[in-house]
Amino acid sequence: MVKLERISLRNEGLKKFFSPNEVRILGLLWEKERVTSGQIQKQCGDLSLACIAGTLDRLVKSGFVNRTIDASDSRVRYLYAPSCTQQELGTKISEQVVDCLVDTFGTAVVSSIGRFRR
Amino acid sequence: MLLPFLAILVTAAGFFSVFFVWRRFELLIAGQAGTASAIVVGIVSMSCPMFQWIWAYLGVVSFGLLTLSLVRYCLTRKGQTNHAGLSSYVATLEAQFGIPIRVIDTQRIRAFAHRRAAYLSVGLLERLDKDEVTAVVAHEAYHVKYSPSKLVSSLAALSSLTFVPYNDEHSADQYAADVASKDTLARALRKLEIVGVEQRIEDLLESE
Repeated sequence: MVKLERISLRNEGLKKFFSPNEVRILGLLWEKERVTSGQIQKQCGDLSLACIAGTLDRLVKSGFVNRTIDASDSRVRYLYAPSCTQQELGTKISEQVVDCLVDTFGTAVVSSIGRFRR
Repeated sequence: MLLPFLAILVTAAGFFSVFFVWRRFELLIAGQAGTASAIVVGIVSMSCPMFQWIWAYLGVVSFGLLTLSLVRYCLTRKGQTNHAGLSSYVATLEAQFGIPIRVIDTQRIRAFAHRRAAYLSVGLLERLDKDEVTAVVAHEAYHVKYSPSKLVSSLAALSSLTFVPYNDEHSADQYAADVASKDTLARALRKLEIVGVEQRIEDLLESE
């Protein structure tokens, strides 16, 4: 779930709903499907490991990313994968935001959204 | 009238002696609870009929045991990550150092000793080499086996027993350096990103 209090409409793109580092990491995950924290660190060379680790923990906790422990070939590591596609994320966030708007403004929201119907 | 007081003190002393033999800190707490109630019961029983000291005695024993089981409950309640692939590796480390090791579910590099177990994060197992992990576990094993827990040392200080809390990170580092090597431990410490790590590594490398 996107935290509604964290939505900032002035930001660009997904940064309306996520922090810049979260957006970068989510983008990487959608691109590659299954990555380790080491691969993420290589791609985001300017971010510290502690920063990446914190961001990944947060994304897992909020349910946008899934991780599994891979303990094959005598080493332990996490494998990260996005929990939904970009499209599904769009649907999820829209529903959440529209629900919130309808709660406040009622039918005005419905007629406003009706403009996009062809 | 001195009999109940003595009996209770003996029980409390029993808890203490078992603590010093087994080094189980929850027994120390039980012993302290016992001593505290011995004093209360001792005063109360001065004005009680003779046979009531048996009830007082049983009360104190059960109070001690209750404290014991409560502390044990808190010990085991802590969550842990179980993963089939991890268990054999963790079991090897547990066997090597004779302490329980729990794995916590985070990408961050973390290691600590809490109560009577060592905690390692998955991130640590991922980022540290095997010999570095061994050095870290050795350090935490020292805390588990020889360091007084924060709760106990503060409780002991409160009841003004001769049990002074002290910082033994240095001793734990020495112990770990003996098990692994100074260089391995220094490498592991750098990866852990602890505040003031350079000073600690300096202390470690300078010591004999």
